Amino acid sequence: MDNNKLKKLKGYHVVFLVQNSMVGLGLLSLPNQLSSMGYSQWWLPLMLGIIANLTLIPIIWLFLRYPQDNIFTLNEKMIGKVLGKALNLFLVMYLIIFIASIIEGYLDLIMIIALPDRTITTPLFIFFILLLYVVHGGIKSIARFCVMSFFLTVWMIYFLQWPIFEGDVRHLLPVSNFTLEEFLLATRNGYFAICGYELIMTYFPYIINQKKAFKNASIGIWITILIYTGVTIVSVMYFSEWQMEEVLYPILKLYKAVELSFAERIDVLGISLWVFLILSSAAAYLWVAKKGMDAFRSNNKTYHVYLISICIFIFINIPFSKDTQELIYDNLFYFKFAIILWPNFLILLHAVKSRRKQASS
Amino acid sequence: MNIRIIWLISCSLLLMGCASELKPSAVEDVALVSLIGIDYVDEEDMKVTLAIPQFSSSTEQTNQIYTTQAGMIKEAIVDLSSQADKEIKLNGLRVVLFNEEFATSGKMWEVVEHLYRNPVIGGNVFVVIVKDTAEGLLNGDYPDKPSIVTYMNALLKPKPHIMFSPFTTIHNFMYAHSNPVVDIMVPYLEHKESIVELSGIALFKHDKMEEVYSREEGQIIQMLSGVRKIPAATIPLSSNGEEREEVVIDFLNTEVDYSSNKDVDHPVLDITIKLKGSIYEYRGEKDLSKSSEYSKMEEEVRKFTEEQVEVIIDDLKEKGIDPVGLTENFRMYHHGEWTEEMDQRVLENMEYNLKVEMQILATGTLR
Repeated sequence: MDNNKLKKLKGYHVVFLVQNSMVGLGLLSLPNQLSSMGYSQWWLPLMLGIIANLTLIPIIWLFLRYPQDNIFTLNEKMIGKVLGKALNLFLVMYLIIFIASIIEGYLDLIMIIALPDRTITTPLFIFFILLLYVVHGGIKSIARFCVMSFFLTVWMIYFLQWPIFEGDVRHLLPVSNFTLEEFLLATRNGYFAICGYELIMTYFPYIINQKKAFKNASIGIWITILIYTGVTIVSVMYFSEWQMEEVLYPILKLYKAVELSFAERIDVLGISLWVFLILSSAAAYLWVAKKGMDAFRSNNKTYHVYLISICIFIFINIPFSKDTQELIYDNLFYFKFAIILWPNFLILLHAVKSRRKQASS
Repeated sequence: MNIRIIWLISCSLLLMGCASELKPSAVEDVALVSLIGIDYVDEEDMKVTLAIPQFSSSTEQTNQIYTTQAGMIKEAIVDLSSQADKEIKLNGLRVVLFNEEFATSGKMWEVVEHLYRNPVIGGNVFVVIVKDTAEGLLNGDYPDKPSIVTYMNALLKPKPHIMFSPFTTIHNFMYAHSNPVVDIMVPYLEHKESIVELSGIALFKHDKMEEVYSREEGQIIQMLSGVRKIPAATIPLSSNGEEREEVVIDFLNTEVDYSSNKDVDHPVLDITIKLKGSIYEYRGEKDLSKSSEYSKMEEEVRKFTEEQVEVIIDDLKEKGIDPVGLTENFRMYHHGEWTEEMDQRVLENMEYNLKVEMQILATGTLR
């Protein structure tokens, strides 16, 4: 194995790492999240994809200048040791809450749909063991897991043909039937599903061919965006506007339309296979949180990952009221967006620093 | 090595969770409801009848039928569980039957919405309307059929000759109910002695059932909805006294094309229907081997169909019911919210130009 080498991610690893850390829980409720735009929502994922690709540019630009650093070590370098460490701790806490929100959302879904007569503690345990197993192997193991889960789940798109037959193409028109407020709300809610590519800020030093990282990451982003666009178009065709607003997980209703002579309830199959997508994105986030912890403690210890898992586990089991939960999860978005825009600030610092260096020399 | 052993032990420890007190029910302890019948009692209550197939041959009856009166479905199931020998579950639901009175009372969508919300119920559950009572239909005696459950399942499977019926699923029902552009249509069943007949389609206006259309009328609505394969139709060409001339056309392919003038205030809709068919049976004087008489017949069939479609569209416009979604052709060019009132207004004011093209492809292997 190449555990001792730093650089271990090949081009296709980067593609699937980016792609799979984006598709998590977001896709399940995407048409519902965008529903404020009504039928005109179908092209919005394309626009979100362009935004994602644009925000990727400063990230890659910055890290090409610091090829040995990840976001946590770079924070310490740029804004000072104390401030950097504080920020890193904050980031780790944010990541813990975020992973908890992914896992909890998925397990709630499992409880509602697949296992209505059990509690979620046992599935939660099993999930964590798998998660730790994947993360244990390091970033390359996560990348391989991402490749695997992509091919294990992507064929589910085939099942969308039933709703296409039943749907009405005329729903796609008119293209721009929304107000500015509706548009902004949909963009805000929809962007949550697009996030995930910014994790490249942490595994960038592990990429073998860093010059091509931008291209590979962009391919990853656009695979996701194409899947998202396909799903939203099918949803727009299949549902009425009321249904898109009220049905929480439109994808499951799309799968319910499937008629096969030998199998029923394809939605249960779908939601069970979805565990791969959740595992791969949770694993990527958990690994990033571990790196953050490493940077905070200035050493590289395996038990950090267990420590974080325990924190996540505890956080999931804290009985928050529904209001608090919503408040926390809703505001996560702003952190997320701040993190994506953070490299721009670092670029500014970088420019100031290099100018000072030039001036002093 | 060490770590693997630890993993193995910790994983096997988890298997103990499988033996917890929360045992899921075994298959033999579950009664999967296949059909639900709902009859009108009064404003508050309904009569719920469940039909559950029996797979063991120890009893003579192939189904279990339970009936109770309740305000909601779940209430009825909890109530009936105290009579049933097994745990009642809705996972295997196939068809929900409503009686006509219940459908006209306007409460039907509440029940369908409840079923639509329930995650264990599949998406392809059919909704039908029964003329008298659903309880009577489910309790009926069908000596030459295996059981009412299999009979209903087989009856509602889309087949070429019954494509006049829309086969509304729970999703279709909720879709049409929540979409201002289309109105709901549901297959209409009649219980006659030892058979059940798909005798037409029931049309809704908003929440309430308004009309029952015959099979022939249902066929035209299906044609307008864009269903490609519709059943064969008997077309009377002329009848002067004793001598009737009629032809049975098997429609091979139907296509419908709409184009609107995009104007909500003065709506005009162009409807083009292209029909391709072959002659099944013919009774009359024409010599079909002559091309002039052949095309004359084509023209006569075309004209007859056009008149029929016109009658239906005028009738729908007059009643303000739109199961086809004709107004969708105006909505797709309209900016802003499309409300129920607007839809009604567009439908009322709508003028239309109908064009039917008929092509008879073959007359069979005999001249």
